[in-house]
Amino acid sequence: MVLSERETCRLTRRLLLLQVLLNYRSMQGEGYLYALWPWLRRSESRALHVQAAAGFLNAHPVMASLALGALRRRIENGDTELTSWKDSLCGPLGMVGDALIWDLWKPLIFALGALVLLLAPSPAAWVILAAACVLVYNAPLAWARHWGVREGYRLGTAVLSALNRPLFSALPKHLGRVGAVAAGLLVGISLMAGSRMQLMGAAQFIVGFGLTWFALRRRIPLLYILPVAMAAALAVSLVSP
Amino acid sequence: MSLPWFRRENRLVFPVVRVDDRLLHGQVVVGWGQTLGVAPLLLVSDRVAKDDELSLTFRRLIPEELRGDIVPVTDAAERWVRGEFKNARVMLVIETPVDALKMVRLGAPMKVLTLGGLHFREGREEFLPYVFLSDWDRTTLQELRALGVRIQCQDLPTSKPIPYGE
Repeated sequence: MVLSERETCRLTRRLLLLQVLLNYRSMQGEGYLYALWPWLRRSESRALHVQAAAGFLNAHPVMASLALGALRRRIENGDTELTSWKDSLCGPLGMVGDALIWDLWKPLIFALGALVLLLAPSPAAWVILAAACVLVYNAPLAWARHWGVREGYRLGTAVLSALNRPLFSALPKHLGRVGAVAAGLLVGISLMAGSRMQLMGAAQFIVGFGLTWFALRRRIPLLYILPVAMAAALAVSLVSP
Repeated sequence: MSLPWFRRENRLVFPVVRVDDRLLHGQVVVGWGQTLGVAPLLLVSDRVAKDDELSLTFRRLIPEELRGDIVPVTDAAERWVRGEFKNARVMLVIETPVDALKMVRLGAPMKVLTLGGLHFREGREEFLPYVFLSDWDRTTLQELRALGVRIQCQDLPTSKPIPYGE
């Protein structure tokens, strides 16, 4: 079964407001109901399905697209008892989104954005580059939402099998590598920019880049990074002219 | 950022045992696991351990450095009793307070139980925005307290633990 392109786009668009109705009782539950409502209200048995659609569910806002597509399919099939199925989606869909988007994609784009702003030659270039960063950040997420709704609908009950694709294990590794380099460059260039001496500047760049890259690749907790960073900053300020 | 675990009364006790009905999500992996350098991270659930497909999905999702695994409640208790968690930064995530009680009854030397995420269900009342408790949960927690387990609510290691039932 395939969801029409028009319906996929409508669900994707309405999914953007998922978090608006976030509450501690059903978390995103009413958000799914809102996304499904134009279709649901035409259904003869909507009274039965409203509860199923609005029941507790909490996932990452982007990965929620998989849940939404699957939910639509299950309701279409006439399933009404969805509580335990929805419970089993929360962890995996939350985990993938948190790890991939909040923990890797967002910081990576932030580091790249800060880097290009640091290197941009003029305020006009800053504006263009900042707009480009917003676009680069959001375009894949918009695509992912659209894909998620369609794939979720196709898989229905077995929606979690979408997460077994090799992409979901490969992507964090690649994003982690690129992110560590981008953050290293950002810290290194920021440190180097404050130095008037060429040799000292190069040393500061290497130390900044190396420490940041190492800390991110090794996932060293912030608790240990902060004292080292403060000690390094103090040492640099003492030896700089 | 406050570091409340530096205070004596709030000092983290390993293994950290967290009750979270979602088991695995960003708060657990990034907030607790990666911030505190937890390894291994054990998801203790009979429901997930029985479901091969769900177990496989969970295993794939846990970052390698956390050396995650999914274990049934009895196995986790037995490993704890055998002393396998000694001198390790172990974190156990369990689904319900009943699982914690089961572990303690099997001999697990649990000192502190952290309620990290028990969400709304029919019959549960709000204790904190992230902790909703049913009468059954409350009875179980009382029993755990009577067995010498300190109960606290804490969503992230950087937030202040809120004692339960004191």
